[in-house]
Amino acid sequence: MIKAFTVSEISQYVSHVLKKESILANISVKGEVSNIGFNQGNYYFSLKDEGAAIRCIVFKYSNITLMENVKNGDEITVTGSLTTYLKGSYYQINVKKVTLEGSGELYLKFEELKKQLQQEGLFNADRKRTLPSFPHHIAVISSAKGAAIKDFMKILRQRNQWVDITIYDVNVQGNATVKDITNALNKIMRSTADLVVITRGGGSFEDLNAFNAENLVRFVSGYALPIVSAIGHEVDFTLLDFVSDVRAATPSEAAVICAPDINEHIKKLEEQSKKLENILYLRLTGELHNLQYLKERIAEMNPYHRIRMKSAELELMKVRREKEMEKRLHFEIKRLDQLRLRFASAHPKTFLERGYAIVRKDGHMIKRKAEILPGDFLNIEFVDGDVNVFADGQITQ
Amino acid sequence: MKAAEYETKMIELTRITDRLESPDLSLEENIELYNRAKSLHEELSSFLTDQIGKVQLINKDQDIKGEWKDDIS
Repeated sequence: MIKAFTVSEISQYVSHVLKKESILANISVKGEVSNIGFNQGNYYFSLKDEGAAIRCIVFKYSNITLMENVKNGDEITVTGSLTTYLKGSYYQINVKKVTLEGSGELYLKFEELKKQLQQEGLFNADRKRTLPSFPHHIAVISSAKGAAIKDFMKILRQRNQWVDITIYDVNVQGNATVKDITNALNKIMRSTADLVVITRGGGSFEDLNAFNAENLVRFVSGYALPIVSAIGHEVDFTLLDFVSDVRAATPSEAAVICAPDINEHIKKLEEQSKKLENILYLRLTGELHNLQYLKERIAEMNPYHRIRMKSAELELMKVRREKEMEKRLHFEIKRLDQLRLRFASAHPKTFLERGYAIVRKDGHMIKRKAEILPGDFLNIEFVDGDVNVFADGQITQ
Repeated sequence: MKAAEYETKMIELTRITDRLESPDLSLEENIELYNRAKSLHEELSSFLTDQIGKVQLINKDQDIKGEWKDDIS
């Protein structure tokens, strides 16, 4: 019967076998980085190819600074020893050295050059020039057949029909790129352009690498005109972007940055014109009001006007007085009528008509019978005439 | 008019418009400034609307190739 090992025993045994293989003590393995992680100063990742994957560990004490730039997908070669991890019973490469392959190596050079140029101050903010707010001639360095120039021109012409554009057709990839661009920049210096745009569409790091060329970056840093760079997509950064005065994330954004929107300027002018009209209108209206006020005041001061005013006042008073007089007259007439009626009712004839008679003696009206003596000659007046009579001898008391 | 002149004149127009709002301005000054502002406005408007920018294409040998067309292939 076969003896059963414990897990620890078999794991330790495999470790022992591997340690005896001297070839595994110092190996170099090339592959693509995946599942990279960082924990307590140590890097953990896998190296893989089409058929297999192997775990790798870079301990903190290995002091491999390059690991800061390594990312998933990078092609690298690691050198180290194959060891086992007893707790998990798996093997891994204890990495002592890392070399970037392909784009990884280019990226490393990019980082080194970037650091160097940065230290020299080529990317300093105080070196950046202000773009003309109203450029009259923009020189664009790009591939005349690329998507970048189409995007740039489309947005630019939507915003600005005014500015002159000269497109310098260049290679934007490969060995000729730097020479083409510097030639174009030299030519632009002899033109009327007041702003330069260098643009191309997206691509891999290798595709865009021409824009990281040291001689190009140094040439641009000493260039007389302001430069806008728009290389690749938003996530792509080249050294040209760092040294340019302005970096646009895309060709379309470069168009927005470079050329002012003429429609906005026209709108602003129209607003200004309305404001001007309004100011003048308010001013003239104010002056007209003033004139009107003065005219009214002058009219008030005119002596003829005052005479007319006084005449009108007199006329009014006259009318008022006449009305009062008329009213008073009516009142008096009415009062007289009333008195007349009262007098009329008190007239002796009124009494005669009612059947009374007036007795007179010697022309005086008799009011008491004691005034009559026998034999007196009396006159009695009736309503329809009078009669004379003698009082007889007997006076009844 | 050059682009730089445009900016200078735009600044002058803004300054005149601000000045026109000042209450201590005589009517004569007011009308004088207004006429200047109107003239500037017309100049600036025609500057913006009348000009159509040229588009030239220069090939790698630095010879003028001609007008650039966006359907170039």
